[in-house]
Amino acid sequence: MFLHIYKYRIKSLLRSKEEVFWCFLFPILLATCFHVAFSAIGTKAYDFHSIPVAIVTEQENPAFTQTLDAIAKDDSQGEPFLIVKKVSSQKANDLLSDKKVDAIITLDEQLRVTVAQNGLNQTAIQSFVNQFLQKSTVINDIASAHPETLNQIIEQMKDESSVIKEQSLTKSKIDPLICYYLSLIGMAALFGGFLGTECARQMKANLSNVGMRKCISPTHRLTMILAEFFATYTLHLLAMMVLLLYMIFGLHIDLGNQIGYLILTCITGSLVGVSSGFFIGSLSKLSEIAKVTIFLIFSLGSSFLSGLMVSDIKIAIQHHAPIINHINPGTLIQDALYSLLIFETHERFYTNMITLVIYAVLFCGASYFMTRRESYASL
Amino acid sequence: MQVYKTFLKISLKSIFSAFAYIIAFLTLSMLITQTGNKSDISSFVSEKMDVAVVDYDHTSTSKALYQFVSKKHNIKTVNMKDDTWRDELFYRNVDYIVIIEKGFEKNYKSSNSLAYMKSYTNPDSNTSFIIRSELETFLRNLSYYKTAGFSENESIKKAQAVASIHTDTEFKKNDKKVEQPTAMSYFFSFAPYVLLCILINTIGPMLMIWNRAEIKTRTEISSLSLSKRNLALIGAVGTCAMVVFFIYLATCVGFFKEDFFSLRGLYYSINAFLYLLVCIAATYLVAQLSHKLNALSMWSNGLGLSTSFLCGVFVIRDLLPDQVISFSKCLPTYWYINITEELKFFDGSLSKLAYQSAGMQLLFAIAIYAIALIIIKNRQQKAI
Repeated sequence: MFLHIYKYRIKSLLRSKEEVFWCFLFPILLATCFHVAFSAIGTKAYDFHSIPVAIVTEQENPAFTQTLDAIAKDDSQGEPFLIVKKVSSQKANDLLSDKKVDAIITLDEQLRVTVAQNGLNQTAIQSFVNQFLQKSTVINDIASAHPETLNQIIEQMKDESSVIKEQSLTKSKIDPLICYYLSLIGMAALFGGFLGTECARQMKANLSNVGMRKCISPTHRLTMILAEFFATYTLHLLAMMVLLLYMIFGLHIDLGNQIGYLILTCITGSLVGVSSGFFIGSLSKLSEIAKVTIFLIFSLGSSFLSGLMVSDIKIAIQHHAPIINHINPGTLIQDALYSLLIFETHERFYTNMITLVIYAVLFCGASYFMTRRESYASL
Repeated sequence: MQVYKTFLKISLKSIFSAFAYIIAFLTLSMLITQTGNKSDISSFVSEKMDVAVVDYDHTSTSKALYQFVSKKHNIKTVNMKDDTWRDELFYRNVDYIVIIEKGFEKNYKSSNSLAYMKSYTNPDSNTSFIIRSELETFLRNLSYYKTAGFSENESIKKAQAVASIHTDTEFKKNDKKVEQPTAMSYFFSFAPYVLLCILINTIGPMLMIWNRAEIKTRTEISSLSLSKRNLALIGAVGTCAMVVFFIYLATCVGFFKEDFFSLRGLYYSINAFLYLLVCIAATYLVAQLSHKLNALSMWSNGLGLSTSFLCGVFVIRDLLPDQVISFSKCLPTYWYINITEELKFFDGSLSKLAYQSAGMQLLFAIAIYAIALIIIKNRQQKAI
């Protein structure tokens, strides 16, 4: 009987368009949206691009002009650091107003930098001018105190090799936008609740006609509940695997190389999602609209707090109310996946997993007690 | 009038559910606003950062470096013995960690410091290169002075003095006073997602009741014409939407009172109102296409999240691919964001593009409503 109910529950859910959309198609649609929206961020925000700058000469500064010329020709990074436009003061102001240049460098008695707004390019230009001024001071100091070593120092200055070894936080390279995808997996896991809600609705005699028929059937209630629950869970796990395969092979998102742990997270997350929906669906006294409202606020709110829409929200929460990050199911799933990418040990991963399992046990237990041995005076 | 009154009576019955949605989405909006204006990927304002210096060398050079960092940035302490330092980096409690290994000074003099000085930074940090550049410049200058023959103490003092040399950066004064983005700007930037989700999830279920076969047929055989029924319904939806809109504006006034009562606040409100018209029309259309409550949530999230990501609500538009920007012109959210982006740097007047964008939103609202009416009319004819 278990297998019979199991099989028909799967068939029934597969024919339910809304549930199939929520569990299979919506996460895939959102992952595609992320991929499309984020595809240019790497090149537009993180890759280096030449900085256009206007140069206004009020008083000749041969050393700086020579440095500028050398920099403008040097394309060792693929593109030169600066694109120099030597113009009059008026023209430079116009270019800055029209955002054709990021800054104006005025060569006067002193070097002056004029910008129209704050930004990374403006900071880089300021840093470049500062370094020039600092190097000039070093040369002047050495020329006046130890002129015999000046040539040696100038030679030494030509070698600008790094003195700091930059270590990565992780062994593999992490995409800065990976948090969005991890939150998306968390959301997909919690959306298993849509299947859970539907499953619970069809188990309750006061909520659906199918529920009435099931209540009067001679099948043991526990067998029925388990079969229905596991069928729903199996289907949702399948949806999670489809999403993972799509993200890894379709969108080429690097989710790390700990596939076993990744799947374990999906198994646990999905269990929490389905059981939470089952629990909300089992609340007898609530109307259908109230249940949908509660579940949507729970699943979407939880995903939002894990960083689905703004990835920095998790960090802001950690600073102001860290307890939310420790109890929010969406964050727990996201954090478990993130810890696999960041940490070399699995301590944090297992902490998140245990908390999620506790949630699943609580939801399943509460749902079971609300669904079993119910009798109705009239329907 | 009968339809209008009945709709409002039904809406009163689902008021608790509606308020739950409104409170949830407004809370979400406020949270996004608070974090949104701090997470602008493309901007950086020079300020003190949190740097941890782990000194295993304890020499005059490493101490000088520590002193240099402490003058420019906030010094933080991290424990490198367990994994907590990774947490500190991830949660931005520390922006940069510098580790000075034992033997640094000795090897630094022999120009072999790479193995003796390590740094850690967050993978998505766009400010770490500044600290790194400052440290390297300081160490190089120190090395130049030492090589030239200055004493240890002299070299450190000179290198520290040189590090404080900087050019003053001026901000270009504009003829017009240009306002800068405020928290209210971000509050209105996220309105497309919030308004659309609230309206579809709160008003959609009430509209669906009117599509129930028994109610629909009863209304159709009455003396009320289809156009009058639709007009009354859209009027009732508009009334409910205005209640939502006033709550939205009241929240804005509550949090950003000073900003709100300004010309910029007025333009933001008008723009949000125009988008509200699009949302009303979209809600009307979605209610015609949905048969179950779950489907409404499906539509609201599908439309809300996808248009938000594609039109620059959650991601700054400048960072979107050019093809996506071209495509998003076919969506009303694009035109809404056009105006909010212009208002972020409001100079007292609106450009021609802003007026065009307002007109486009109006046209989108009319077009979506027209599609909904065509669907209703077609269904009625099929039923006959």
